Amino acid sequence: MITRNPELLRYVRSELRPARVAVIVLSALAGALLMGMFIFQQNGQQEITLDYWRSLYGAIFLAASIILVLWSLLNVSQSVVTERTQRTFDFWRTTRLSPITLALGKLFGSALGPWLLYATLLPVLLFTGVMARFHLSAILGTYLVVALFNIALSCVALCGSARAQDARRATVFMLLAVIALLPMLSAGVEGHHGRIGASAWSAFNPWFAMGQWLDGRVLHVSLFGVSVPSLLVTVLLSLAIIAWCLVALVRCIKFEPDQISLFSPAQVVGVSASVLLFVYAAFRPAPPEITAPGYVADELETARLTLQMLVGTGVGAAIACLYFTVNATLLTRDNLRQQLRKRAPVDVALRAMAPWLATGVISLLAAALALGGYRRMFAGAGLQWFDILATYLSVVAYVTRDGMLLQWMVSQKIKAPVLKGSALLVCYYTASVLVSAVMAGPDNMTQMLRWLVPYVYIPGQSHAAANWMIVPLLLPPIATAALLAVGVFRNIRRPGQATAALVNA
Amino acid sequence: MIQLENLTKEYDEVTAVREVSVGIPEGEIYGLIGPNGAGKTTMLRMCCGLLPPTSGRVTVNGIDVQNNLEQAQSQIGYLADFFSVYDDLKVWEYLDYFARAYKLDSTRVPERVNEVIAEIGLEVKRDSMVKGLSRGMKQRLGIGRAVIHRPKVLLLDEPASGLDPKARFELRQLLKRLRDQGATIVVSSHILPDLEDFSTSIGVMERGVMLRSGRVGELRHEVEPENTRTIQIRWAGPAAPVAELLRTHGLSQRAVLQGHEGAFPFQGDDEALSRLLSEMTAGGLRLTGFHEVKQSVEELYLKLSHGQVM
Repeated sequence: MITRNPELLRYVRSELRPARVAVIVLSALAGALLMGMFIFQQNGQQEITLDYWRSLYGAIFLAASIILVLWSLLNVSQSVVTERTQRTFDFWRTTRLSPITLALGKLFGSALGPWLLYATLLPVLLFTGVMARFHLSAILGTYLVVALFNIALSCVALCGSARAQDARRATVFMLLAVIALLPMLSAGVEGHHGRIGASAWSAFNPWFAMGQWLDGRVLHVSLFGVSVPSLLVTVLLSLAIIAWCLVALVRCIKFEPDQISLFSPAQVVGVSASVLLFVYAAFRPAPPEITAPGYVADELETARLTLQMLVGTGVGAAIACLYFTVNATLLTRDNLRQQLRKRAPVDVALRAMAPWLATGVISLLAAALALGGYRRMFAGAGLQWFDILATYLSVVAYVTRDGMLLQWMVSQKIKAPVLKGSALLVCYYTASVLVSAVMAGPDNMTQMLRWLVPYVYIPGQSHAAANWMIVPLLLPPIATAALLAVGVFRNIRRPGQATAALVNA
Repeated sequence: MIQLENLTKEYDEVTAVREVSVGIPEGEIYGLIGPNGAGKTTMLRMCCGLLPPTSGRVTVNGIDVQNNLEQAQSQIGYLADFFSVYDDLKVWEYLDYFARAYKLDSTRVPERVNEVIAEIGLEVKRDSMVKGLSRGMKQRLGIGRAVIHRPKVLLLDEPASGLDPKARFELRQLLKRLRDQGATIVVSSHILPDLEDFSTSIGVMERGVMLRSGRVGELRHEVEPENTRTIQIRWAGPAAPVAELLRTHGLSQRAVLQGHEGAFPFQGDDEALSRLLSEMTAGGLRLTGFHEVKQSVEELYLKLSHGQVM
């Protein structure tokens, strides 16, 4: 396998020279030995007990996992971008190496050091695990789950590396990814709620479930309302992340970041659909005991709360997926220019907006399916289908407007246009709330806000406005989007006047 | 072998390459010359598929580079205009990596690696780390990388820049050997005397536009009138008799005489030139030198790029 992948073979040759292998293996074994001595001394006992082996196994496993993840992320996140900064990038771009060969070579090759360390500690973990009377399948299973989880995180880091302009940005991206993972670390310990187990979100943190497995218990989470083993969800999530990242890498690893986007428009919609699927799969109905202490909510109240949560989760996920779709499908100036040479501006504009609208439709369908699935529970809870539709139309209209603003920013010669455009949008929405509060007063603020931000239906809340009111509310964002589209797709400047003058001369 | 059709690359403010159409036949060594920012690198990068053109197309050996990138790249060897190699590999490992990356038959890779190492003259450094090589050796290794898969077309971007005279000489010898092996080579360079040595055709680029392209001889004829050649002479004694003789033959109008040497344009065949030489010696001129001067690529470039023949 190694000789079939020249990229991996190159890393094996350069990273696994005997001296380096010796340093890594000896460091790993010495570290494990030191941990053993330290824990023995801490226990203050004269004999080795079962608790000693369990503590030692836990310490080595945790240290090995953390080192594997952090070291791999660091190396993988630099693997492509350093080729670009050292200007060796063009070399393998002109070879016949396939993108998947390159991606797999970089994924495993650049992290050979951490993988060697992790492999070195396997016999140590097996020995201490058996001495701690853990089941062999649990020892090997947890070991493999960490390995798979690390591959998934490394895939994300590799995508970041393939897209980053310089090593510093790749490092920042990697750090942000690690920081984003931190809240997940507490998710697994929330335990069971009611009869259907913890949320599937806790599967992002496999540590707690692995601890349970070693103790002979299986932690379950709720997926589509069905109780499934948490580590199975972790494995499925990891595989899904790996699959999407490899799809992206196959598309873009042999190109400069400004030449091609991470995903094709269809793939972006696919990623959004996957995210929506997981969000709804991880949704749990509100447990009856969460209201005021000592007060158990009745069935109707629980249903209303669940409905609010489901609509809120759905709209929130739809907004997140829509903005992701917009950001991932914005056309670069170069793309715009090339497309405008081949097609009419209206055609280009519609093609640019197509993935945004597709994600909007998928969000609406997902919401309808989820609400339909729970419809018996919502009897009498005030579910208004038209309001759901209006909310999604409104959200899509506003996101389209915002997308067009970002596209307009990109079409102008502005540095970091997406970042600046996003900051502008944040300012706009913040100012909308403030202006509405000041102009209309806190009590009537909602009425005024409807003209400035997307209309969002909150189940159970009374709203005096008639259903047809949604039509005029959609006009401002649609008109603004159209105006921006004209600016983007009609007025992009054609360069090259200086050269034209030279030719004419 | 290489066909460029209306190749254009536009950036935000500039058109780096504008509607370049050039055909380079097989076995040619094509010198691409022009000042910095002329668009040479952009053009070469488009030729090897590293940069998508805004419009136009490139075909190599009949294969469209944009549409059949992998197939086209199997025919192309590319050397970029900067020194960079994988320092943490040995010389043979470096070439072995690229041989495999170009999907050569794995059983023949070791043999081909040794062949290329011999070709680039790095036999004694075969097992040395790349980081220990001199700049010239690294450049030769770069060329070895570019030819490891026996490409039909070699695109070399400023291969001699930054090299000392000895390394440049070695590079020239290497390129000549590759030319003799039948490769079509495109070389962009600032060092025009180097190009003079082996170029069969040249292309002059300026501000993204291909001003002139063709065989060196054809371009010389374009620059100079039909049957006109430049004759350089040296003599002992005063210049006045020389000037007088040239005047009587109607050759003094564009003649430049300075001290004991000079040059003048001459229209006529070899027979006429021989008669002129006989008359000069018979007229008592003490000639110490008499030869025809070929227009150098550098002079050709200066004339073409300064609009003398636009």
